[in-house]
Amino acid sequence: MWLHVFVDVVAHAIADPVRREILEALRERPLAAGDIAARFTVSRPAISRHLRVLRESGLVVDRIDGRHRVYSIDTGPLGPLVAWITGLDRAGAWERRLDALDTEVRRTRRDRRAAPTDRSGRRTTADQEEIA
Amino acid sequence: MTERSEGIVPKPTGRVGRGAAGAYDMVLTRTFRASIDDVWASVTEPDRTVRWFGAWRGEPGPGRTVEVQMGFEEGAPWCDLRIEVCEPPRRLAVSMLDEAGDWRMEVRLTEDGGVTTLELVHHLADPGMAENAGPGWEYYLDMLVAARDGRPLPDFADYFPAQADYFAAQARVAG
Repeated sequence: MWLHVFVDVVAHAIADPVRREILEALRERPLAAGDIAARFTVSRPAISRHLRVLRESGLVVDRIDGRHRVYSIDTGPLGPLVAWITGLDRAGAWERRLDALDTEVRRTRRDRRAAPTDRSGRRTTADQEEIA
Repeated sequence: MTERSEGIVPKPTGRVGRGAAGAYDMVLTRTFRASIDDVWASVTEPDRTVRWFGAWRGEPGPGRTVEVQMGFEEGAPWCDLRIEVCEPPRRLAVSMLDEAGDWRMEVRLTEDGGVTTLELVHHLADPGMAENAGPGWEYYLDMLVAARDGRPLPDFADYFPAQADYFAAQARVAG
């Protein structure tokens, strides 16, 4: 099954913390290779290898802009992996959990806006109960 | 007895080279002893495409988006397919969205002396993508050939990972 190949490729690409961080950085804006390398303590050759894995997965595309090679994100190749996860989850359990989480986050935000703060600016008990 | 058990292994034919605008083109070729109109029908008419790739639905035309089913993949997912260029019976350019990302593909047909040559072009942002995309298109073009000849359909397991190294080497030369 050909689409499974792309599930493997994309799952491998995102199964590394440095590569995930590169994707998160590119989510904000396209970056030159030097700008990406400057964000990490790992060596430039290591960053180049990570970028190659990301390019080959299709999650990152590069173009030459003057003297720079500029990288940007393409989330299209996530499709087969997302489809696989959704297909595995026939009962829609994750979708329901995510919906429930969304409701909870909204409720918490609403409560926080309403919660009074003490003089030091800290939230008072109502908020701490939520954290607990 | 299947072809596979007789030890006939499909050979990769795809070539990766520089395309327009600094990108890369992967080109795969098949020839048919048939008219160009007949081969065009095989790659465009839904009752023909269903035999080797999948059905499609929607209102076709340049600039329009139809839905195509990957009927031989698990779950037989439907993908959006934008028709960029449609010049029967010679040239069809499409963008395939969703399942496989954003893929830009072209089919070019020429006929000479009763033999029609089909070129499938996949425009690649990165030559390294050929390693995974190439074996898939070899498989689907052999599906097309087998469906037209009324022979048993090939097995993807004979194409991947067997052909991945070939396409990786093609990509290294092109890159």
